Amino acid sequence: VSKRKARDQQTSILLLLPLGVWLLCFAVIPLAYGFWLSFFDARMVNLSNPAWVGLNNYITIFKSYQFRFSLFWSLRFAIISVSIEMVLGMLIVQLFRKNFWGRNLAITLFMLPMVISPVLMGTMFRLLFDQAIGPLSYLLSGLTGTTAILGMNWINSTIITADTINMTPMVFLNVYTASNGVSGDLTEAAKVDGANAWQTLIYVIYPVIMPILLITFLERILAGFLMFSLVFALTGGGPGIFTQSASIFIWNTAFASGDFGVANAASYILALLLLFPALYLVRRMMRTIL
Amino acid sequence: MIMKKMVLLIVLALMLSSCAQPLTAAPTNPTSVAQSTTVPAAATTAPIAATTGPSKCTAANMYTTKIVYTPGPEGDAMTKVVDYFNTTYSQKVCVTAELEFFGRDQLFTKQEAIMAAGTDQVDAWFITSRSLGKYGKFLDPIEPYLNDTTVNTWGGTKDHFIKSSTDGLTNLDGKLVGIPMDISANFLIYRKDFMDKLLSDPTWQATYKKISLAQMGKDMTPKDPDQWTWDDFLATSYFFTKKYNPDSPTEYGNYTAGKVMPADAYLWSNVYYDYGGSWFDNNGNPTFDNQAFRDALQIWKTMFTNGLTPPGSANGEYPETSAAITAGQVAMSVDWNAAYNDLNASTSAVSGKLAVVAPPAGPAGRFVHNHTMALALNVNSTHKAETMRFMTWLFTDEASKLYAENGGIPPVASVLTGMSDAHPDYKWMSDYVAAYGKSPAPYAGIIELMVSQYLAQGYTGQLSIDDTAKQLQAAAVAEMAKYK
Repeated sequence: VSKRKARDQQTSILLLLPLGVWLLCFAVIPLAYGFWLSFFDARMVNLSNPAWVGLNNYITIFKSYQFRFSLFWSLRFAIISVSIEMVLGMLIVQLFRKNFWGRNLAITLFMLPMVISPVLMGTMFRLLFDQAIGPLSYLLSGLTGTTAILGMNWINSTIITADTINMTPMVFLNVYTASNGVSGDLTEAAKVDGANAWQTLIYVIYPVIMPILLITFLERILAGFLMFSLVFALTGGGPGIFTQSASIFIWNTAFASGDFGVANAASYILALLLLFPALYLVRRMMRTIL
Repeated sequence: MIMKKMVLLIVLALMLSSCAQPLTAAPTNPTSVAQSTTVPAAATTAPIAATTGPSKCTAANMYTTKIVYTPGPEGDAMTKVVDYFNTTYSQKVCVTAELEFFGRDQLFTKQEAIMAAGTDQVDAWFITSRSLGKYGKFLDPIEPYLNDTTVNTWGGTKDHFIKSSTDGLTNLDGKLVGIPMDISANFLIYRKDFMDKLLSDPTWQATYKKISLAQMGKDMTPKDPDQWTWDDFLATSYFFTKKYNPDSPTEYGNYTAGKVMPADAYLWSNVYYDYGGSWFDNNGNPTFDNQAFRDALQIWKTMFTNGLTPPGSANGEYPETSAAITAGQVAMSVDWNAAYNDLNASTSAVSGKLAVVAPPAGPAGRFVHNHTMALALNVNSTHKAETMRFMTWLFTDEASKLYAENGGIPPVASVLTGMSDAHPDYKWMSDYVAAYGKSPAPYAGIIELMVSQYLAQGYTGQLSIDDTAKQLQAAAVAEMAKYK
């Protein structure tokens, strides 16, 4: 038995080896290198021989108004956009719970924005929301009172709208799949006990799928907090730093200013901030799966 | 058992070797190679007959030089130039050229990463005049090769190019490090039909006077755009904005591109230069906390706060500017030269209705911001002389003309002027840059994003003008200190 166990172990190692090496090359080593760089004045011109600055990069980041502003912007964006996406996603699931002609086509069409990359979405919205030639800005002007929805007064709402269109289908997909997994016996029983559709939803279905709702919410919050592509394509973080997310701040610091030391320090601070919700998310996911 | 262990070890070794390969290719220290700037002996001992005598090229002395270039119109033009050179001259100078296109998006970031690795796999970099300070360590001065007749067998000199373009590629130490390939400059593009009416219609002129007096406190009369100061630009912007003139044919006076990006900061720089400002002093120190900065920023701020530009232009750039002009939403814009051809194309809604002059003047004079895309010699190249046998050919009329005929804009006055029938904008480019051209300082690229961020905070009112000047000055000085 022990010989077989040893053979199994060897096979397991052999099978895991490619993934292990891949992770070592493309995750562990870059992460360690980034952490190491965060203690150096590391720029393109001295990347082969960066100068040790200790904790200076971290102090720079803590003192940076731009970084604090970006963190706050990201947090506010994540909370507002994800809350809207969760509510919309959960409501839209209810529309599709009943069979009607063309339902599958409608679901497919509704899911389309999710498969478009956020950077492409941002570029498309730049055209659609353009003040001079954008059809959406023209159509929405009935509600907004202006076609200038990429201007200072509307830009935050515009970004949230764009993200909502892009990511609500993701919430919908999770909630729809989870809802369909709820046993018919439970809903039948609720109906027998006199519960109406709303009560069945609130007191039966949502409690059962709560782990999925929570995971979806947390995953979206984390993704929203790390938002980059959509905002970068739409505004580049501007006007000024008005829509600069934490990720755009880090990108600008690393690739526009070429300051890899400070950018890595900012990345690790951001990672620490997100570590606890991420760990909680992983734990809940593992519990749900197991 | 032993077999299994061996298999396991082999797999492990293969995995680690594939992983370790890029890591073991340790970057060479650019500084150690940078010290060698003299022409290699091989270049001087192996004279090449470019235009006379039989070819002496053999497989052994033939070299393919690898040159980074940008895809797009510039890359298309350069491909034709390189193809022509390879067909016509490669066997005479024993060099063929090969272009490496890195993709337009983030080209410079990709290139920087390879530069930083100290590669010798690329012989020439694609740079811009404003990025010399950033990349200086990786670039080799080219004049030693240009002055060496065994390398430069074509006889070209740096005077071949418009002075402003070579000035922009000269480091603070006076060394030319780039070969100007493609120039971009800022124009004032305006609706000629509207301006003609403004200059001839007494009713419009009376309204213009009234509005300028009410909004600017100045009794102004319309002038030919070629005679404008920034006050005329402002007054005309008020006149063509519906909010101030309900009879205006356009909704807004002008389009002021305000997105956070270096290109938009350089558009503003025209005003800054005109008021006597400059991003850097002669010693390379940032200079933003001054009256010229405040005056120039006030003009841009007026555009946004008084609604002379569409509110969405705070996040607009080149394509949005063109869209606004094409849609007839604005009457004019300080824009990049490339816009004119697209806007004036026969399919454009404003075809034939546009005209171009240099941007307006200010108290310190009239300047046209321009910068140049260029080729520069990789300091780590092991075949510099061979590469320069090709690159010195780019200092000839033949190469520049070929480049222009295929869609590029070489900063060569004779070539640009000679093509004015097909491309009137080429002649304007040549004339305006020669008369008013001002290139950014070689270190501008280091702080250009920072400048655009602070400027945008200033002109959109997130920061006061005074705070913008002070904060930008402090930030730019701190940033530049890290590069010295």
